[in-house]
Amino acid sequence: MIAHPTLGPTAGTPWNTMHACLAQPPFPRIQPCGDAALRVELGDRIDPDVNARVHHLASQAQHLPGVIETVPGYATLLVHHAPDLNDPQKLQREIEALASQPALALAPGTLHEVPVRYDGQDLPRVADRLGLTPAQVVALHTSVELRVYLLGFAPGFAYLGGLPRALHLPRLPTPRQLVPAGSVLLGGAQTAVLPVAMPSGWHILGTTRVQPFDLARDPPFLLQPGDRVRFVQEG
Amino acid sequence: MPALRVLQPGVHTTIQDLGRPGWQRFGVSVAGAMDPALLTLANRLAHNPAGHACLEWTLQAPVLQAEGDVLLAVAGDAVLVLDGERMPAWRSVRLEPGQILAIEAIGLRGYVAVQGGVQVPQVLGSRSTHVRSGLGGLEGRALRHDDRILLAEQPPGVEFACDPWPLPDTVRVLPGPHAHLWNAATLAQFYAHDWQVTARSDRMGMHLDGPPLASTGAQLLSEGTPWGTVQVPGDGKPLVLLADRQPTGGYPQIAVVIQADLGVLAQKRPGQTVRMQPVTQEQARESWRIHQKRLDSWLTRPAPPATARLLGLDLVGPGWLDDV
Repeated sequence: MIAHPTLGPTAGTPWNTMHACLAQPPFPRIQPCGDAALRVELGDRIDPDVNARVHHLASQAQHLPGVIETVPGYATLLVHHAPDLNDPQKLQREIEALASQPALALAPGTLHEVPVRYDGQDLPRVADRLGLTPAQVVALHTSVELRVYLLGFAPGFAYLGGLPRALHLPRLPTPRQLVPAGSVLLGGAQTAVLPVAMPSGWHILGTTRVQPFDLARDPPFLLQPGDRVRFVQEG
Repeated sequence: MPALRVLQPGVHTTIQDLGRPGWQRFGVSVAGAMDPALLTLANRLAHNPAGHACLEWTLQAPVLQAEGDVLLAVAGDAVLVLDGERMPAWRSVRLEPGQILAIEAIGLRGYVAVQGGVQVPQVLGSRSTHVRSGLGGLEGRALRHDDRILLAEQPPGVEFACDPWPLPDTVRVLPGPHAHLWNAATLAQFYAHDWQVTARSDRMGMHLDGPPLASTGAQLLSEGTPWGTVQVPGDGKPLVLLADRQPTGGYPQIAVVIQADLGVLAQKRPGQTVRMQPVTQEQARESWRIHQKRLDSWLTRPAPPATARLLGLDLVGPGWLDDV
């Protein structure tokens, strides 16, 4: 085996990968991510219960001494801490202890009904690619309650899970330079409302008046993890 | 109220402080100075607390006109031109109403501090600009010709200078959370190569060029990404996430640059190369300690005033020291 001076024994060769899988500790797994963050892995798939535990851990961990902020992912939590922590192992142990506790059941999140004018420029082409009519695309898009898994990418941008498989579609090969705020988008296995005008490679299904991000509003961020979203056809 | 008039904005000049941490879980990027040590020094030279909002230049620095008596400070590799006099940066300069300061950038990035700080509204606790989402700074954008930046009412203090802050070349990294997904040969390739910085690089990320790294084939879930994360997107070319990065990402993370070297990244211009040097957690912590200690103890001293102004002073009478 070739030992890298810093990384240790070779990682990733077929034999080692298998061995690594067998040797992987059960969840939660926690390791440093750089020298100013700890990464906690609570699972390896998109799962509402795992995600609920991520957010529960986030709300507790953010108050630990030395923690600057916590950033939830689908199944992971990134804990940003001061780079000059006196005792980083202590923070790691504290987080491990919190992560190992059974999570309290989360109160069901708010249901947001989001009215959409389904007149997006990409709707006909999306329907065509999926072998559906535009009306069928709209029916599918409005048929489910989607769950907010995390916010990221842009202020107030909610990653929504639960999109029917029939609507999964690869993103555009080249992103558009500027997609307007309020656009209702479809990309990969996801759908979202764009809170701020930004470049995007997702398909535009329509627009909504709902603003996921509004600094003048209290709260500024409308959609919270655990909330549910249902798109409703307008007009 | 005193103000600065932007006569020439430079290529990409934005108002930055030390960023707006604490909102990443709402999708709000931290933003802030790409080279926090230099921002701190600019503020120190301007008699400000370390985190006051400054102007950050990229590639080309601004030409500014004082409206009122102001003390400006410049930290970064540059030449200052005032009334035809050329002098090195790393100093503060008193401007009288109408005086024009031109800054000729040599380093890729640098900072202009104003005593009392730049007066733009705070957004979520910070004056940093995040252009992508239109937050903060002056109207959420880079500076333009004829912009007017309001300043605090502050009697200008003494001009100070300091030594140029050293610029190391190496970029030290720790293994990323997905490093185990690549085989030894690919990891060795990542560490051995002199990656070239491309012109696509900006405050969000440094795009590197070189022989593409083999794909891991893994489909990863979106997760938090610290400043300095080295991602490997589909084309196999490393992308280092910087101050304006999004809080979450889904590409595999092969390494993370250590905190002490984030400023090194800030000064790497297109065409230059980056070699990633693996270190241990203990070495990273020690590097940070050394970096902070050096920054805390970086001395400033009274600067020689610009010649033209000196000629205008009455050095014979007893009161000239008060004017300096």
